[in-house]
Amino acid sequence: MTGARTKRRTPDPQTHEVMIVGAGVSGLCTAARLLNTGIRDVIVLERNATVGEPPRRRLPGAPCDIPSMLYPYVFNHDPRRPQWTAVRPSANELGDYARRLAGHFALDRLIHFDQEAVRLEYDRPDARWVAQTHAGQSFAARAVVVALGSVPVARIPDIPGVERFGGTTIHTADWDDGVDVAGKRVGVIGSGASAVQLVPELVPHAARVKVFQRTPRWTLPWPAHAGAAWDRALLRTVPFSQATARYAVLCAHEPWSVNRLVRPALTTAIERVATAHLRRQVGDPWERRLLSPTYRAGGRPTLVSSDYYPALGSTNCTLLHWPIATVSEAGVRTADALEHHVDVLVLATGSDVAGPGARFPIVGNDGRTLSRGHTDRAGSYKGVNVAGFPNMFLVPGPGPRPERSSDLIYLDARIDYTVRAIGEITSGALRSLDVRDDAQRTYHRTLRTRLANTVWRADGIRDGRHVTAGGFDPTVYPGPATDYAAALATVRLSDYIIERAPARTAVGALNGSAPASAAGRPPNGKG
Amino acid sequence: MPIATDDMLQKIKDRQWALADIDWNAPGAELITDEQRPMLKDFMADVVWVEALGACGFKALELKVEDPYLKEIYRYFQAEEQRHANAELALMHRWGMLEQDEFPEPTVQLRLIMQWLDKNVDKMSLGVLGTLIPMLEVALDGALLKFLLDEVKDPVCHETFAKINSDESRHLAVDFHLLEVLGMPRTRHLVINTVATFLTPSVLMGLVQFAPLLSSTRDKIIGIGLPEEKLYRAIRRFGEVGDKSPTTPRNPIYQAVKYYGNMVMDRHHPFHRYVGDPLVAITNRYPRRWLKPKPSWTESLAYEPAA
Repeated sequence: MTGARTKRRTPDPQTHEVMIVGAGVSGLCTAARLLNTGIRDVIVLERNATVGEPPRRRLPGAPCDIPSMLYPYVFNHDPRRPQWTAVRPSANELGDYARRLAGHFALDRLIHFDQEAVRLEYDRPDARWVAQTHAGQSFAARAVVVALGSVPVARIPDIPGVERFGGTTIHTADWDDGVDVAGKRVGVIGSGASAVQLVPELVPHAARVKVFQRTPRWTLPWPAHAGAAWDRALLRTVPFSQATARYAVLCAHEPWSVNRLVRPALTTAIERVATAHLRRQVGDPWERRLLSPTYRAGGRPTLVSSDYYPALGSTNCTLLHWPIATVSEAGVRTADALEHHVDVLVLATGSDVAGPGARFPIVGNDGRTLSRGHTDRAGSYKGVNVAGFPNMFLVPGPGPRPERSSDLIYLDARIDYTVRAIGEITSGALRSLDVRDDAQRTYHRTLRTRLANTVWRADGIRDGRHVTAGGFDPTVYPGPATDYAAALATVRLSDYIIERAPARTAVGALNGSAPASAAGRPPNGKG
Repeated sequence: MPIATDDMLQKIKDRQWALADIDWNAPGAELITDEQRPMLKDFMADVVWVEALGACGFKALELKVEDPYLKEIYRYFQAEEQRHANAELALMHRWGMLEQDEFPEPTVQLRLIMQWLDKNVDKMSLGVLGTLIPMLEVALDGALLKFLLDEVKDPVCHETFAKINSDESRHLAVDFHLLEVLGMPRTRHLVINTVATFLTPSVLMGLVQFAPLLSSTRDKIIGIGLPEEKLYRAIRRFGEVGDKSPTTPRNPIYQAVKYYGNMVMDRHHPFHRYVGDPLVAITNRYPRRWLKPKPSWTESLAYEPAA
């Protein structure tokens, strides 16, 4: 069938044990840990020509949401533990870490550079995953780890007429460095993390900036930009300061994960600090009223910025809290009947963290394609596996994602889990490990039930956030990140459908010479 | 008649309009007579500021209500009150009552209320805000604006007020919906709420400060020729609509506000001789330099369609 045709076209690739798609920090970390556990036949596909290249599209300014501050602490207990120079590091520091990781473990030899995956498909008869790349090559492995990072997919706001705007429209999740705002009138729709990050960068250059705010957010102070001198000095000299800073940041971000008795006090403390910060930076009482959040801290991600309020206070910047009636060709019409003429319209309306599959098709058993819709509907198993996609592991995956939690613990736990599960496959000579549908359903249902009782449902999260039709937000894990890590500490084989390799040798199965299953080949997609 | 707040929100979103939708240079401005002009300027200035204060009131309501749709509705209503103020400002400019960049100066009574609202509006209970605002809107909508249309022949004015009135009809529907909801709790709760409300010093101060504003506005309106009977009928409508609902009349705050409104409108009530008129006299002599600076939201008014 089609599968056979594909094979005839390209020479049959060698089947490795593990293939990792993406040589970012999480991909390299997985590779390093696999090597550590003795799994050596690993390849990594990377679309760039080197390791540690900054993301292609990066929003100017220092990230303002707490997860981005936590991010660098990922993998702290790795052998070559990174010494962060600042609590709030720059993106380059992340790249540096990737490079150091690659250097220390000599990972470069595993990486196939300039190989951007365009299709990933499970070859059931041979029990292996085959990746097609943009360069026209194919790679195969028994197990695949999808480590593409969290690909932000621009969330287009539900504002009538957005597509009608005559000037330049740009989304913060899809930022283009080529956009020149110098001397232009800029309208920023949204007041979340990306707006708080971007506005201080726009104000000095643009002629006018108008920020259309919907929900003001709790914003904690953070001195200056990335890597302030005192911040570096503190981390370098004071013992345990890294750990303390990390814990403080984690608490501020997940107040609901701390002890129930301490929680109200902590939430109140965050609100007090944020309110004091607002009072100090914004002198006008009315402006302060507009900027005061109306939800309890923790209901949405808390932001950190000391530049945002002063930027709003600049003479060429205006904060507008009126609802947007429509976007016209010339600009934004607010409900107070005025039309704000702008040259550049920035949609800072947030992004969905897309599961893998957003960029290229991933085809599993029976032609199932992995997409966001699929994982939202059917859920995933522990956020790592998806039923119907045997031997595939998602690191940043669907299900609970780090958007509202610390990447630190989530990613760490996922990578550990992945390495352990792959260990089971190789050591037990298993042909494939596929999550049972019922196990995944049970897991999904438990999440939903628990989520129904958390602050995420109770507080005003519903509006505008990515809640699926059933009122379930698949990105939230209904408990502390540490709970999640505990749930991932063991691989429960009873939750998987295990196909054992035929009695001969594991290597035999590995090379695909023994198609044991008589089940029909997966009908191919058209990709 | 409780309404479906989600449907109402959608309706509100669908019926937005902008200053740019109206041709402010269309003929008809000359229909304003020189005799009308000074009086009309005074009157319009008051209306502009009352609308702007309404926006503040709705902001407070937005913070107070629980229903997420109602919250969003009030977010729109604030903007709509501001829109009305902007449109009325644009009319004043059209009629040549204001210089470029001139803003009508609010009266002392308005300034006092502004000052009071700025400080206390968030302390007011939902019960008071939710009852007072409909009363003022009924008066504004039912009497003032209709009267204005009787007196002024400018077609652009009619076009503008047709839009404003259709917004106001939605405001009233939501206002009376909230009134009905406010009357639903058990009697015990209603009584406790009422007692607590009227024991709050800021509320009492507010009532004292509202009295001269209402009295002076009322006299001004009668002064420019609105038949007293019309105004009285408009305020009575507040009670008539409210009394139709099964739950609204149960709320003692509603009864108090209804009584207050009727009292202020009735020129023969002893209230005017002993409280209203003296307060107007005092506030008229209130030294302007004692007033605090105008809150910054007053600068967000604009009459140009494009900003």
